[in-house]
Amino acid sequence: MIDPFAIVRAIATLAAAIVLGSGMLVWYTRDALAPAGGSVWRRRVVLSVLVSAFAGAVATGLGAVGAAAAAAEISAFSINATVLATYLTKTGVGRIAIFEIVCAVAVCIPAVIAWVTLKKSLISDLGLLSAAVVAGLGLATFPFNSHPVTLDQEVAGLVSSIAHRFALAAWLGGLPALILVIGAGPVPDDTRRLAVVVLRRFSRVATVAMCVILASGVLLTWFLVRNFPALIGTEYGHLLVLKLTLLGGVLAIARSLQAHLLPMLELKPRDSVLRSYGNRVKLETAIAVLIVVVASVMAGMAPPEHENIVWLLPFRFSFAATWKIPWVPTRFVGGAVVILAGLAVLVFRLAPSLKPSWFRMRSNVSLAAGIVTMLVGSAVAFPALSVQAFRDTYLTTDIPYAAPSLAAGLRHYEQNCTGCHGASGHGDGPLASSLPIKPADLSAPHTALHTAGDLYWWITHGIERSPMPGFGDVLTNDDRWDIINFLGAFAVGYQARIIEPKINPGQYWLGPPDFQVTEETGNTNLLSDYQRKSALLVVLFSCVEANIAQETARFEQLLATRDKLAALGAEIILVAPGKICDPLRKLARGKILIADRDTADVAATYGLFTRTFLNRKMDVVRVPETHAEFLIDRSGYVRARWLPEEDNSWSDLGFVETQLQMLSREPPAPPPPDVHSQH
Amino acid sequence: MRRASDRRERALLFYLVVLFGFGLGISGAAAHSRLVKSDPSARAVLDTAPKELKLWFNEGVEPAFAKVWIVPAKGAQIPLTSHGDSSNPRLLLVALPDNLPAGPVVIGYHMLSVDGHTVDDKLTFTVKAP
Repeated sequence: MIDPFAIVRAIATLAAAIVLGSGMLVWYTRDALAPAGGSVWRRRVVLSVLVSAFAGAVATGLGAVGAAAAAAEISAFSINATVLATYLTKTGVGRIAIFEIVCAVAVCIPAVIAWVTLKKSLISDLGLLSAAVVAGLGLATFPFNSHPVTLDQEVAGLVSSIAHRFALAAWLGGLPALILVIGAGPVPDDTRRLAVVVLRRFSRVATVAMCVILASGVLLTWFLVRNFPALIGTEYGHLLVLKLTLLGGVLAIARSLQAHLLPMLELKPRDSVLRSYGNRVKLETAIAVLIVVVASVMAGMAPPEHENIVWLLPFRFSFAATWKIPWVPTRFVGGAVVILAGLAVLVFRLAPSLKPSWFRMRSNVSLAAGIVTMLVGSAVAFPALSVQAFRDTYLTTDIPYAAPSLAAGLRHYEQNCTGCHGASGHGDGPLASSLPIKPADLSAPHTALHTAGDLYWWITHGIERSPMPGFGDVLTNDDRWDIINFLGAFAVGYQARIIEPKINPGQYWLGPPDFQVTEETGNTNLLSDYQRKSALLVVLFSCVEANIAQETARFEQLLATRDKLAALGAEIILVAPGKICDPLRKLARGKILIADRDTADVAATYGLFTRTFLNRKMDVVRVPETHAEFLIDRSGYVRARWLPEEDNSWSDLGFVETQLQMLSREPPAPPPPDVHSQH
Repeated sequence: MRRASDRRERALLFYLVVLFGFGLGISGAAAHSRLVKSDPSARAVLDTAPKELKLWFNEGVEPAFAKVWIVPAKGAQIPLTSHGDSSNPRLLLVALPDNLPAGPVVIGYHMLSVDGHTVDDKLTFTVKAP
């Protein structure tokens, strides 16, 4: 069922496009309109512009009514004066809608002038030009009320969107004017030469417009769709593919007109050619209208970021998951070279001017050879990158990669998974030896190479032809995502063993789990809120009776150095769980940042990053509490860590200051990627 | 005619290249209205009932059309009053009732974002029994 607002939006866009495209075309061809046929065509076009202007004004007004009703959740198209007034005057989107309405109504004035001054061609043409300019203003306003304003690349998105709409209007809006010259019955003799001039000049405009549509379309797709799975796995992506397919049809028609029929018309404007031309323009117009309807439906939808991707193929391609497998790089690079060779043969066949003199192959043979070579190359290259995929492979969650979720995941793991995967997570649980296939070692790097959606699928449905059962009936959706968050941290915790007390310049890859922090003022923030603001020294205290004296001494040492660290752009965060550490938290309040909420979860989560190559007692999912300190840079990456059991470098806080000085000299890095992102 | 057919093939090749480009050359970042954090956070377990709920979105929201309500286990929704923050257009402040019961508290919200789209979602936190 198509959203009725999409139809209203499409009508408003089409109307503005006709005013702009047809008006500009008349202006562009006004020097050729002197013969009798010229005034007839001008009259028809002006009438179509006039009707479009009024239809556009009504549709734009209705669109605002509909948008206000949707915002207020009242029934569609119901006119509620209070809601409408609030929408138009109290919201930014409403104020933009007012400007659109003003433009749409203002278009009617020069359109009427063009109609009543038809006999004075210059004034009428100026009226058409003015209507086109105002309609263009309205078209350029719409993107300010749609997806482009929410893009990270807002300016580029707005410019691309405006260019896209202008070009669309110049092309699509001119098509009805073409129909009016050659598609409305037999073309009289006094109009034939004019028709050829109009068609040739429109062809120039349309060529430029189509290039702009393609270039801006590529940019907007880049900004909005983000990745290939979203293109084929979401409703938005399906509509985009439909739009591209329709555009392909338009390009094919336009090309046939430009390359074939137009030269024939210019040679001699025969009836049969004019009829054929007119029919193809009508078909092109029908497809163009469909494109606008599809685009209007897309404008009303959330971009794929908000849609769950449903992946229907049993495989996917992944460099990250396959590149380290023996022979994969060789197969891929070899296959790619063969594909390029086949492509070159095809290019030589289709563009003989590019063919080198030594290339001698018959035309049909080279076509077949090019295609076969590309297929052979694809058969070698792509299967090497292929890994198994499921319906949920690209599913993600809004549950953040944060300490409460990771700690909950750890608890669910302990309750449901240790029997097979073991308390260590290495696949050595008490039941493991009785199973026909050894359970996966979850600490291995491959865990991090599966998508979060793959893990979700396996935890929900189990793994085919393996003893791994599904937990879809046992664990809630949130529970399963908690486990996935935990598994991500658990696996990456093993890779984090290489992180040293000393900064390795340029080595930023470990994103820390988020948690809530209470500021000195009592306000709360998330750890991630400090990105771009300050470096952080996260201090995990070992709150057990035997260590408390030592921990208190360290705390006092840190507190005494806090001003020096602050001068270097760093803040200290205290993570001290349990009653034993109550005095530390009290002392810290108002002086440094504190992990005051879910503190035990934060400690358990950061414990996952305290493993070392030497200390095997840490090879358990719930790591024993120990004192640990983590240095997080301003970009949000864990860059250094200190485990007093391993060395005593940070006992001297001067060492930490040196690390902070090194960090301050580094350029900012992009923020850590979303752990639920695809590989 | 031969030239025309060659041109058609080139046009087809051009289209395929563009389509391929659409498919493979796409990456980057897009955004759309969504809750990025809240205080209390979603799924938080609290010792005491909060007086206020703060909702942070990834882009500006229109407070004039914000609706926030409690979804009780039984009975009709309880509407809550909310207002924007003049210093932060992405923040919405919601007053919570004094008599918030212990147990899970489900909050529903309906937002109009600055791109004209509406967003409907829920979040839950839990207040521990005294």
